[in-house]
Amino acid sequence: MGEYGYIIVGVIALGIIFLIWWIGTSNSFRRRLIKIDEAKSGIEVALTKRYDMLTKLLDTAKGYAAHEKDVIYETINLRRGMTIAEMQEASSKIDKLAQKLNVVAEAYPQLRSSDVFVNLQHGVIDAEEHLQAARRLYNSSVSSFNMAIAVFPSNIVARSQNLAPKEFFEADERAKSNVQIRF
Amino acid sequence: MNTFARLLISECRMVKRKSKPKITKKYLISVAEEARGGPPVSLTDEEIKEKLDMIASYGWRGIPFIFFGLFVFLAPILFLQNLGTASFAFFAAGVIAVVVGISYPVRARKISRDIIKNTLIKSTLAGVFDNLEYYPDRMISQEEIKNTSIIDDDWDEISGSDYVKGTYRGINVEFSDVFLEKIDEYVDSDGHTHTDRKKVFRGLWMICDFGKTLSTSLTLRERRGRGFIAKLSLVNAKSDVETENEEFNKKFSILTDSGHDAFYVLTPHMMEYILSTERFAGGHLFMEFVGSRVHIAIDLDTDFFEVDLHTRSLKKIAAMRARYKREITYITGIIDELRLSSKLFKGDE
Repeated sequence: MGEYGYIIVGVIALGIIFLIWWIGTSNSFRRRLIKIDEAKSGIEVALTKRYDMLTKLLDTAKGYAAHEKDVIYETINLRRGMTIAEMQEASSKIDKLAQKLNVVAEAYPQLRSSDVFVNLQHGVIDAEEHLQAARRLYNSSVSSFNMAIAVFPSNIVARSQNLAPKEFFEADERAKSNVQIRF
Repeated sequence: MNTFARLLISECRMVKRKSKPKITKKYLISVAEEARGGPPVSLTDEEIKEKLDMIASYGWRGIPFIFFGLFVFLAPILFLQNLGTASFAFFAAGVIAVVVGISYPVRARKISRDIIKNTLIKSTLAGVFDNLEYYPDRMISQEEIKNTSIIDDDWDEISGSDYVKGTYRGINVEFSDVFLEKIDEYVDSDGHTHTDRKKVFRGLWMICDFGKTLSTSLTLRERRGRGFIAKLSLVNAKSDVETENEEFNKKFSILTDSGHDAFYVLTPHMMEYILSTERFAGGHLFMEFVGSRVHIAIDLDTDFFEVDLHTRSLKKIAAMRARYKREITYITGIIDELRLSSKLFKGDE
């Protein structure tokens, strides 16, 4: 093989390595995006579960404080495919609902000692923990994706595919400190 | 009060009156059986020493049999008598006498061990754990250990001892010593088969209640090596999730099929508790959350609740007592560090 032959083989080898790297990086972005979508669905599920538990808790409270129900009841529209901003807004509304329920329960000791109410309270706390887990998993996936598309050389592949950083799910810090129902 | 407790108390009273009980084989067997399955009995160091001395004196009874056996065994040779077929009878009688002689100290040693386990260990455990069950010769269910993926390396043989089951601060706990070995057999150039035994894990294996229920399992393996070495997938398994806690990510490989379950268990608080448990444990820490229980395995290269019968001095007994207390404090310390008994994880607040 002549001198040019080696150069051609070298260039082809480099081209193949570059192609493999490009495909690998591109696939890793796809995998990360799928993980982000999965984590986002997890937040939707957790939000719905938390809202359901709070609604059940509200129904139980109705028996003890019927006139309070209309004051604290709030319709929250939860659906599939919400944006992160919509989810954050829904989460914030659910937090407010939980806070109002807290205030009502404080005023009715009989309600607080009811077995059904106590069991539902456990359910709400568990739903809150699931929501926190879903939120952290989503943010972890977003962080990993945003990092991958920002650093060299994978940012070249990201730019060619028009990949933009994803939005984090930020919990309302003020509400977060008050959401947990504890008596 | 059961037979064993009555025997011990009456015996200690007799010792105080300077009258020795008659130590028969039947009596010792009954003491041993009761020691294995009976309730814990709390005795002072002096009372334990008295008991051990009595049992040791029983062990010495075998010495004449051993000498007699050796004499009968060697008689035909010593006296250079060709006794023909009778020589075989002498040999056989000698061997039987030696075996009988050896059985005395062996039995005495076993009974001494059972008594120490029941008086020193079981009574100390009973002061800490409610609903206590203690079996010195058993271990945690092998099936449960096999069903976890805590230990990465292959292992072939499993053994263990000192199984304890009870309740600590409302948490159901069971633990034992566990020893896992890898056995390699190979044939050398002369055609001889050799067996190589390699330790895979030796230490404490504990299973505790955990307030949360998981649909899949979550395994945490403390990483081997440091820095760049610890990151190599050949040395440590690559984590399936990355948490916000950098120190935790560096310290443990996090293995799970469900990222959600991992974050559900590994709250910021829980990660701090696990890190402080790792510092407290002093050995290689493995954990697996499965169902609503957590397996905690610590490779310490040591056994818990070992009995030292070389001497029977009061100093030695006091040292053994102090050692068992230290070991129990270590075990409960692990549960305390993980805050498993706290309302946060019990789910019954």
